[in-house]
Amino acid sequence: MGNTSPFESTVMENTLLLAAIQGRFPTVHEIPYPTAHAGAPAHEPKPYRDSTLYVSVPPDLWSGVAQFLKNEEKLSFDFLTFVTAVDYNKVTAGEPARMDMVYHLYSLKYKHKCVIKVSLPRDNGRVDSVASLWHAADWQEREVYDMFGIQFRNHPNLKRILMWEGFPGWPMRKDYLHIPDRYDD
Amino acid sequence: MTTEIVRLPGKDLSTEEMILNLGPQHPSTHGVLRVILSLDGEVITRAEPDVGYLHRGTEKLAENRTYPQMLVISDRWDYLSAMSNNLVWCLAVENLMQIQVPDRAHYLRVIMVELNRIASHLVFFGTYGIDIGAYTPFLYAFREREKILDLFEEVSGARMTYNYIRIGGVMADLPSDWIAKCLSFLEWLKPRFQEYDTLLTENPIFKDRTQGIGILDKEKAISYGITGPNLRGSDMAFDIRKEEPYSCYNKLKFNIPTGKNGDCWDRYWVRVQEMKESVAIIEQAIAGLPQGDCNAKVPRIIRPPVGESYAQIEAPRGALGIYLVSDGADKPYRVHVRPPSFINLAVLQDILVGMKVADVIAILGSVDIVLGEVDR
Repeated sequence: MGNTSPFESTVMENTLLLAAIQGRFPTVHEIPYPTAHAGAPAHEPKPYRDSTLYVSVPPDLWSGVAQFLKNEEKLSFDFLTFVTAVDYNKVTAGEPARMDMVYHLYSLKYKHKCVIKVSLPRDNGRVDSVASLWHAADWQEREVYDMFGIQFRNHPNLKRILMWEGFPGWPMRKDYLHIPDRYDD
Repeated sequence: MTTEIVRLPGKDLSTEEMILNLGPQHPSTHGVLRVILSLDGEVITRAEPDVGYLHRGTEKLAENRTYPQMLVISDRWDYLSAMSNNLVWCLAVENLMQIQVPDRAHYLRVIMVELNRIASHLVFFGTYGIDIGAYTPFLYAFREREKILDLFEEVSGARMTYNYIRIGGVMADLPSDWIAKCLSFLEWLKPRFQEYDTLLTENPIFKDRTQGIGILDKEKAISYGITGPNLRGSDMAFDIRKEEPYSCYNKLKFNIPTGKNGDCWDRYWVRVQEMKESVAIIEQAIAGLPQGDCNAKVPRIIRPPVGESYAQIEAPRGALGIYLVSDGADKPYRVHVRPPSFINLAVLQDILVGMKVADVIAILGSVDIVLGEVDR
């Protein structure tokens, strides 16, 4: 790279961000921009996604990648905007059913952002907690656990937050069945 | 102001930890919030907020509603600033559908959102006075807020749940004499800020109760994902209106007030200053209000393409965001609301430790939560 650092500009391009992450974790890859499925009718609108960098991280690497993202000076992702999960149980052909953890990260220092997705199996999903790196993850991971049943390793206080203790099932899962109770008509 | 716990030697002096249950039915918790406090004498050793009493399952409801239907539910998150909720929902859907909103609609949206910010901060101002023990400011704040609600009633027909900002624009253009009424209200409002300063801001009793209390330092605030006036009170000039301008904020001039110490008084002061900034923003927006249509052409059935989008705005309580995943159907596949109140509230378990019981309400009030948004 010579003497000029690619990180000199305050806002790194997505490619530079990705290169910085892949330099340390080669198995981390970018999630390609969605394209229209083959044979889609011409009048159908084209898929859309924000221009942010979307990165897929294998679950076993996540805690290492998270530490790198936060502590590496050139990345400095010091602000965890939000944490959530998406249940993909009915997906297009060829894609496996999965549960995606979604982390939106932002750097207050460099004003760049990135979206991390960690794909987990739909049943008994387990992933490392990042509550020790970003305290914002504490309650939000509890909410994900509460709604989807995803377990977080090393979480300081993993219990239900919005639903009550003893609530049966995980309400935000796509296969959740509501059992009629006395509050129904 | 952490108080050192003095322990005297001797068996007979052993003390018992006391559990104090604050809420969920208590007016100073601003709704149905319960905080379980462990006390050693008067000093808090552990605080555990318990939320979820108002949980209505917004995100699940969204999966069974069409995009315009969801707009109605968005009003119910942060019911003190329903315009902001409407706006962020519309921005997320417009992102996905690539709808270009006409300029006039952008300006109308900014006027409404900023008026709503004043109304919301006025509720904070009034109720925070009550929390501390001053009843009078509440009456002043609600007198002003009433006039804003009247203005909203004229444009939208509602006083709390407006449903005014719609996908592609706004519900309707302004009534003919609305701008004159709004401007005369702003003129009437400006001298009121001096009254607030004499009532609370510079009141020695109020200062004693809030200065140096509940200090939230910058690093901790960032780590907890705190946004809005709470973060700015900790000397961090972060405002989505400046960082990633939406609507027409890039054409408007305004300052970002920041506090120095991150204590309760700074968080209070930032909100009072923000009301003044909002007045300036509304005046500029009214002066620059372009003529033309206030609605884009939107298909009758809203069916965004496959994809995902995250839209965020600076709501009165912080960064309010919508993460929207679409599978191409007329109902969202997944909606996640980033609720600023919920994320700001999490810091309570940290900053309450070491404080006195008497300061709990002062700290809780200064974080300014709306339980409708915490629990969604």
